[in-house]
Amino acid sequence: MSAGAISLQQLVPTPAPPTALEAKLLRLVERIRNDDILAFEELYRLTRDDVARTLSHLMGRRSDLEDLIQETYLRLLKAVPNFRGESQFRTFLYRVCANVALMHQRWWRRRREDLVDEVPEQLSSDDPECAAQAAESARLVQKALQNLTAKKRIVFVYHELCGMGPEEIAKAVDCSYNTVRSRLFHARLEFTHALRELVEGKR
Amino acid sequence: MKRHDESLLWQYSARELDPEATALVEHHLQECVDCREKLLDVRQARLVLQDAQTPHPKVEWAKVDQGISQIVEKGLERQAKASRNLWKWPLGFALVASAVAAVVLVAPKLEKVPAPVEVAVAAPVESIVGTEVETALGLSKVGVELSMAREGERLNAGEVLRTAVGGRGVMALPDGSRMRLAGGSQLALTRADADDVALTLERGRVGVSASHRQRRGFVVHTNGMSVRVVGTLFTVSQVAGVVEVVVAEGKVMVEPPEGRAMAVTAGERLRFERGQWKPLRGVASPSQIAELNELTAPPMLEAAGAPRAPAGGQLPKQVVGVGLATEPAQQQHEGLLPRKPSVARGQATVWPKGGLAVAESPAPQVPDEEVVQLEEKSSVWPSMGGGPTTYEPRVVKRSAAKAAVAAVPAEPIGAYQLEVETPAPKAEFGSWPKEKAAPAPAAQKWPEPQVPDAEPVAVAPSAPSAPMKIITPSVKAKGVVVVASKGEPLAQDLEAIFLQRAERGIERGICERSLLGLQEIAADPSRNERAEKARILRARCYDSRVRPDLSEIEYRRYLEIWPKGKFVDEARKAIIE
Repeated sequence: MSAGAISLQQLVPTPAPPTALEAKLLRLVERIRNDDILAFEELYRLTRDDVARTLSHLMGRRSDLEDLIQETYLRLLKAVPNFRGESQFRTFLYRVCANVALMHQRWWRRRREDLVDEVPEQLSSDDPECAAQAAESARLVQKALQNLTAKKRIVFVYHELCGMGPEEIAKAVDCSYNTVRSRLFHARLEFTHALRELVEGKR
Repeated sequence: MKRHDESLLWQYSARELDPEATALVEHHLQECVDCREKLLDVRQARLVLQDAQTPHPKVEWAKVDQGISQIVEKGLERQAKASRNLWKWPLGFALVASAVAAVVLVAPKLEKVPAPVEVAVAAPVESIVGTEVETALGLSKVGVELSMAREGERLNAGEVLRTAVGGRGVMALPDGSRMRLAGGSQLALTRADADDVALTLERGRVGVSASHRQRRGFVVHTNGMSVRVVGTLFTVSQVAGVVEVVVAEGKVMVEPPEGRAMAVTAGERLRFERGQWKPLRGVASPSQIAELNELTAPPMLEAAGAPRAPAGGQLPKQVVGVGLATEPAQQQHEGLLPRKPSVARGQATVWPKGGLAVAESPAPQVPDEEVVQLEEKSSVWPSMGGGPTTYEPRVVKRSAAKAAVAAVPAEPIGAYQLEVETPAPKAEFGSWPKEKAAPAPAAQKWPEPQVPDAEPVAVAPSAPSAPMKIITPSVKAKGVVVVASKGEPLAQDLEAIFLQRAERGIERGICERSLLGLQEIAADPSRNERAEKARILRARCYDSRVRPDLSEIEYRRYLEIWPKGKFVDEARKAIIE
């Protein structure tokens, strides 16, 4: 099997999020654009869990996650007037998250020394065993992701953990479809390799 | 296999290839052992990723909520300033235009006027009696015609006020008290005299900061009930016949339509529903706290340079936080990002008996019980008091497990007492704190995932945010198995559960996703027994997945590391077979 023998297939597109929620978010965005600041609160309430999860995937478990979430929403509020509705709002929101993550790239580079800053997972599942499994997996994934560069990590996280399609990611990170595909393929290889090293390195 | 080819395996595993390419990969896999091994790695990586999607990161939402609230408040202030300036410009223009018109039109006629007419000037009025509107966002007067109330406007007794959804109105009453009407409310100024005030709340919520003046009475009527004021700071809300009274300072007497009157004192919340009183636990909701904050803050008109002296009265003192950390008022309007928790700034937390504090603290074991909580549902985040708020009573079975996971004790009065080592702050005029109030589970409207009661739960006590002693009750929790041993870090306890799950997974033939986690535990010699267990589980897992080659490797590794281990016989037997 070689790369030339098979043409690379299109990656599976992401299923669209519930349209009702998207429509509600778009209505709120419209209200914010009309200077209805209270709509911003509602938008925050509807999206905060998603933002927290995305940021934690992008930047690892951090003790200052609250500040990052706040910064994300501050940027979102400033950026909303520029939202033209050409993409889904979720894409727009993830773009802001990616920008916040990239802004903290300096920290990202120092991250390997800051592992003590890890924050334990919240026990969120109804089943403690599932929660334990999820926490263990999240820890492994975070460690493996540390080896990826910021841009690859963003693409990988958005596709593998947030369930976004490559077209949507391309809009969110403002690059071409081929760039996303390339980054994703490399990120997958590096992630598998890192995971393997992580496990085998201790043997 | 080339580096690029491994990504095909990932695509194959993720079913991203078309049938033709899939067939080609499958054909290759039959021939290439190396690729089969790599495919196993890819599958395990994907399984780990699937599991990693689930967890919610641990976030101190109270901190973020406060930051967002401040952003919104600043936005509202900006809008309010803009609206104030908006009517000044046309007014100024109209005055100038009318003056010019008067000069142009009237001046030529003045020559024909034989003599100036003396105009009698009325003596200046000492003070205008009435209710003055301080803040009007979506505040309207309901009468024959619906008209918008404006800031600085005087309202007469008998007027009915209504706030739009998301709006609010703050008014200074003639007796020196102040009241705040939340969004989606309607209230009648039944009487509004300097020594007698009566308000009728038809729906929504009103917050009152009553002055300490001598007067005949101050009463809020709602749904057949009367809330009589004894000089205090409180809110009354009425939605669909359910009345809730929250008292922050002083005392009120509540007279239900039937039955005897009941005193509600500082730090208490009461709900009256279907003819019955139900004491509520937890702090006031963020919206109620926001209302009280606004009432204790200086009036906006004064800040804008228009000092207002209430007729004979004095503004009530700011209230020391009840059941919450106190914080100087000006700190709430400091920079938005980032902020430190108040505890980090050396603030004291006061936990009065009956009041409830919101802080992450070790949760004591308490008996299971059913608690009726008032769940607030609002179309907008109500920290600004906006939006119609509906209340849905729900019965929640509380247990020590939940209390520990929620990390916010909201326990009945007397269930256990909290002793504060740090003395209460001496500052008498602290503002009603916002920061600590948001995450109270009783008032929190966003459902947070919770751990079921009877399941074993791994809980590690987090560091308390304020130094305090917890006196645990004598009754032990029922049906709660805390896996965490004393002083053991959280990860270790999760590991114990993880190992249990992996063992069960082997029995069910679904252990593949645990392999990586088991390897990590097995490879750490400091984990001793758990490492041993993890190694043998890996061997068993491979065994159950019909991978004798990998299983043998694991058994051999086990025998190398633990030649006198608990599972030596099992390992030897497996290798011989």
